[in-house]
Amino acid sequence: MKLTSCYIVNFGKLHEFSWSFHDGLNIFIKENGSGKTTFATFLRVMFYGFENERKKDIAGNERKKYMPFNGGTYGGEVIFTVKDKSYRMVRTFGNSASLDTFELYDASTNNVCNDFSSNIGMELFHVDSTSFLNTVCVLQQNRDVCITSDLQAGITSLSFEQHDLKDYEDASDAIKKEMNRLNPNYKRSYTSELQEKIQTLRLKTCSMDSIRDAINQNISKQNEIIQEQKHIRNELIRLEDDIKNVTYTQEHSYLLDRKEGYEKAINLKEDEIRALESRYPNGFLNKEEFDDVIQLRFLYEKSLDTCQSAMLKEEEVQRFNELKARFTNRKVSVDQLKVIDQQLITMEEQRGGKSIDALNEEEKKELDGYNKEFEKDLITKEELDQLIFDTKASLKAISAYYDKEGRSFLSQLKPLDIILICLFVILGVVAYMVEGTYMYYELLGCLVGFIVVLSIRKHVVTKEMDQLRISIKQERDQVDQCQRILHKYGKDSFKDQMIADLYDIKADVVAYENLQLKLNSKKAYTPQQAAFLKQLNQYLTGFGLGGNEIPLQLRLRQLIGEVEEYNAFNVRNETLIAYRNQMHTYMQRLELVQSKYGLKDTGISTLNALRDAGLIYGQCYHQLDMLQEEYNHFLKEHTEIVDIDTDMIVPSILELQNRQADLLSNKDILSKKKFELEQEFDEYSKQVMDLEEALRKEKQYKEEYDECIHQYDVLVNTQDQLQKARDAFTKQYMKPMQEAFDHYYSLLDPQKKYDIELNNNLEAILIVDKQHKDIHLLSEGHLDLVNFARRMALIDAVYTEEKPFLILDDPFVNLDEGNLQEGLRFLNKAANDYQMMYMTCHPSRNPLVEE
Amino acid sequence: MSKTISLIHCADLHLDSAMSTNLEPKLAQLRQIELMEAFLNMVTYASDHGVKAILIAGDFFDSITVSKRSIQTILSTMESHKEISFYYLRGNHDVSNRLGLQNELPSNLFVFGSEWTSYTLEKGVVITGRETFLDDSKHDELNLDENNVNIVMIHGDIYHDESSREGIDLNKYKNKGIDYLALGHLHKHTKGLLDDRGVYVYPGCLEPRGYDEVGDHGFEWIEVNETFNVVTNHFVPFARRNVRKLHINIDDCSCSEDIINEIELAVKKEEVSSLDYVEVILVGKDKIKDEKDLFMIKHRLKDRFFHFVLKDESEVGYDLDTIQYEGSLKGEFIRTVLNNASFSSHEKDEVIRCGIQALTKKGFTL
Repeated sequence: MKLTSCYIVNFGKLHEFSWSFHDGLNIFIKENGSGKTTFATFLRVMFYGFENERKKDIAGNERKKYMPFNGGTYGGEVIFTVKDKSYRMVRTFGNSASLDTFELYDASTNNVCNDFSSNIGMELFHVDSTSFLNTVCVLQQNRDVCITSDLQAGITSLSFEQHDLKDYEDASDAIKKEMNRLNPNYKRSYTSELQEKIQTLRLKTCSMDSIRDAINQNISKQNEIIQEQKHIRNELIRLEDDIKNVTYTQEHSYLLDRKEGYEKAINLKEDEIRALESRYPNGFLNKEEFDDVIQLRFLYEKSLDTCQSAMLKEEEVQRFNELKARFTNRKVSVDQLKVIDQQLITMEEQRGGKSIDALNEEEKKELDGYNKEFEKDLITKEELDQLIFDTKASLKAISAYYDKEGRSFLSQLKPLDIILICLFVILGVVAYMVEGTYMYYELLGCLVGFIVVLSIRKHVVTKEMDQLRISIKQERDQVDQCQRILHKYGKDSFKDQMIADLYDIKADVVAYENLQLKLNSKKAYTPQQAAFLKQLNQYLTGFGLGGNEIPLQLRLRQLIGEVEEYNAFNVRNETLIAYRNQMHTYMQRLELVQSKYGLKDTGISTLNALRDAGLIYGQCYHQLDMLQEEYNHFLKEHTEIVDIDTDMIVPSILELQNRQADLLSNKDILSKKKFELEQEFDEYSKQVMDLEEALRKEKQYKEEYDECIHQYDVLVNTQDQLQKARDAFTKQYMKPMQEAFDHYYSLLDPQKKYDIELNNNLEAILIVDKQHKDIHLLSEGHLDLVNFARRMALIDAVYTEEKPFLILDDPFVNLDEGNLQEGLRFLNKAANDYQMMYMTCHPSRNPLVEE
Repeated sequence: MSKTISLIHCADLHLDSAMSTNLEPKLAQLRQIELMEAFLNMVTYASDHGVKAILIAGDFFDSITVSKRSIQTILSTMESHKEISFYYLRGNHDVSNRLGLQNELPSNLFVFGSEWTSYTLEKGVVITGRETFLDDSKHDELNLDENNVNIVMIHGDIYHDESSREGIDLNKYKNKGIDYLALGHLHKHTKGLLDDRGVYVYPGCLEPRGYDEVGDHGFEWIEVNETFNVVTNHFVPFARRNVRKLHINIDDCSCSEDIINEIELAVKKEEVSSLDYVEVILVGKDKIKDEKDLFMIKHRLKDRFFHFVLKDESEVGYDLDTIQYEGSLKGEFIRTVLNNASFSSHEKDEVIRCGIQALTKKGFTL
């Protein structure tokens, strides 16, 4: 491709400027500010359009920068040749790209041509504007070379469609951008934001458990209140009923009183009946039964009385037993004995009137008195003498005892005691007076002896008194016995009087015996009488009534009396047995009644009580029937009060209303509490809802976070693998590029001062001692040479189809004199291969002027 | 004539669920209302068909935060359908809620506790339950009269992992005289034989709540023949909306419009309703040269359904076998990745997909 000419209508400071190009090196020497860079920019803009159109500052925005100062058409035309075809490209520029115009003409026919569009730069060179700037267009301010993906793609031998190396930059940028978005280590990355959100939500949701606990407590409290409310509700319903009842009851109080009266009376009667039934569970006696039982009871009691009266007393039993022992085996007839007694009387009368009449009246009285005195027991003279002797001795002993007991201890000392005491006293006095070595021992010995004597005596006296006390008890018993005997004979005497009284009794006994003797001083018995009396005596002796002291008749009569007594005992005994049998029979019958009616006994009072209870029971039943009848009649007449529960304990209306008020108050309090708890529950519910939402979000964010981390890892791996792939791929064309660079660098620096290599990115690397060093260690001028060599190598590699023209805007401005000459020399050589537009401000940098 | 009693077994209604995982606030609110409507409609259906009892086998509510309004609606519905007995057993989601805080519960609502509780529905038909959300013990205490028709309610997942043994051990419920084991917890309708006598059934949730609940939803219809003590059951689809998942192969698509056409064909073929949740997953080889406009596709289709989700799981439409031998950067990249021994096969796929997407400027759908 070659430029033929150009015409600038208005572009920056250039106005109606034209230039004709020729092959090889075109030199444009103008001083600074004359429009060299503007011209170079015009040529590029004609093919690629403006750069940085969106920049606001004029210096950065090319469209604004090169807009004509004085207005007029902004643009121009370029005539160029591509593959021997000449084109005329006309462009005008407006304030914006939409106002731009592009026209392409076939220069030979001047006809409009559509071989290229307004994107003609890309279509011609297959590189973008940036790549163009980095290769064929060397501006003063852009002498460095940046290897774009277009350039990299361009230097490969692949077809354009296969050129995906150019996609590397975009792919790498996209991956980097995505990595930055997802990098968890960047604070502002999306992943970090997610992490932050998760942390925030976690802080929020950690209170979930405590709120759930609070809710559970709230539910428990509400349940308690519900139970209490139920209780109160039931109570209130009950109270309501009570109040209704009470009100109704009060309204019907008169009838209710009557009803209550009936019910009370019925209940009382029923209670009475129940009490009677309870007390007499086996029923009651009817009149006939009662009369029979009462009769039976009377008979029993009569028998009992008889038995009790017939029953022998203890001494009688003893007597009866004695008599029974004497008379059981011997039949004695009282009548026969009385006949014998009569025979005796007759016999005595026959002996000469010997009888009581033998005594005078005074003696008879005296005898009667003695008989009475000695009726029970006749004491003999000998017995009396003995008694007098014994009593005297006892009284004497008692008197002696009391006498001794009343005496002092010293008076009871014996002469020997006194002698010994005196002896010890004398010995003591002697010892004291002698004052010997052992005086005190001697005195002590005397004292001990003294005390020992007294102690022994004291002991003896005490022992004697104890023995006396024992013996005196016997003496007292003797005296007591004497007193009893005296008492039996009507004498209540004491001590000395006793002896006198005994002597009196003795005198009476003697007198009595004399009277008896006088009474018995009759004629002698006939032999028959004597034999009879002897037999009688023997007979009586057989009954224990022997002895001649007591007259025979008296003994006979005693026997008669005893026999009569025995018979009487027998009669009583038999009567008792008979009545006992009878009583037993009655008792058996009574026990049957007792058992039948469950009585505690069969006493008259019990039976009467049973009969009375039966009568009352009957009356009660009758009264109950009457009451029931009346009550039913009453209820029939007053049906409205049937439903009233009169059993209920009826409190006052006020009391009920107070209770109702209390309950309602409690109900209100509970309702309020429940309401508060419900509010609390609502509040908790809201919190839980928020927290559940937060949990859901947290989970969602966590899943997203994990996904982001995973994506980030994939991106990191992809970036790494893509880099490796690009490195491997670019290695394929690095060798020809390095050779081209070496060629151009050797032309620019024939001495090859530095060893320089290109890396995979086509960046120049300084090699010093086989070590890679930064290329910027070189001087600015030499660096320009290196970059120029890189450009030329790239241009060779990239623009294979159509060789471009080169626009060089003072590229060697930084070179020293030596390097400048090499550079200018290189331009002359390169001009053989390329059409160049070389611009400089100084004639010294004119390549056509030899040094 | 033998008498037949009809029952409905439902579970996992999750009433008052927030529904905010997939849905924006307005749709979430609408869906909340629809969940409640589903229950109310089911009760009406039960009433119209002479159903004796409705068994609710847990997770009636989604969480403790049940609104007063929902509770009132439920209770008044139960009150107004005295002809139906409601047997409600709590699940792991509704351990605590406002229902238990009511002063009075309807007389036709029967609840269960931590001990086995039995209710006689009709003579010879006994419903027994125990709240097993805390533990599935006390199997030994379940004593049933084998002469009855025994319906047992529990809530929990049947465990399949012998090592963990978490959940319900079905073996423990075998040969106990159970005719119908009414379960709750799984959101997908599932049934099977319990033993020679009985079956176990998860009715699934009444209405789906998310894209993981694909398929038909409804309740189980139970019929008990009193004369012969026979229990029969079948599933009744009842959900207003269902979740439909469409895998669209884009092998033959050359532009976004082609993809939309493929989706439309699938919707027609699968008889997808406009009421449904629809999840479209693009699969196959993406050979579209221009960038796929997923935003446009989604925008075009989103109003066609209740809710629409588009996922692109298609592979990059290059023939890797061919590309890896090309002398291009892509070829070099694929070779580099495939030769990297430190990557697993899956990692290689991911890195290649990412790299190719980056190089072809198709954006990242990692």
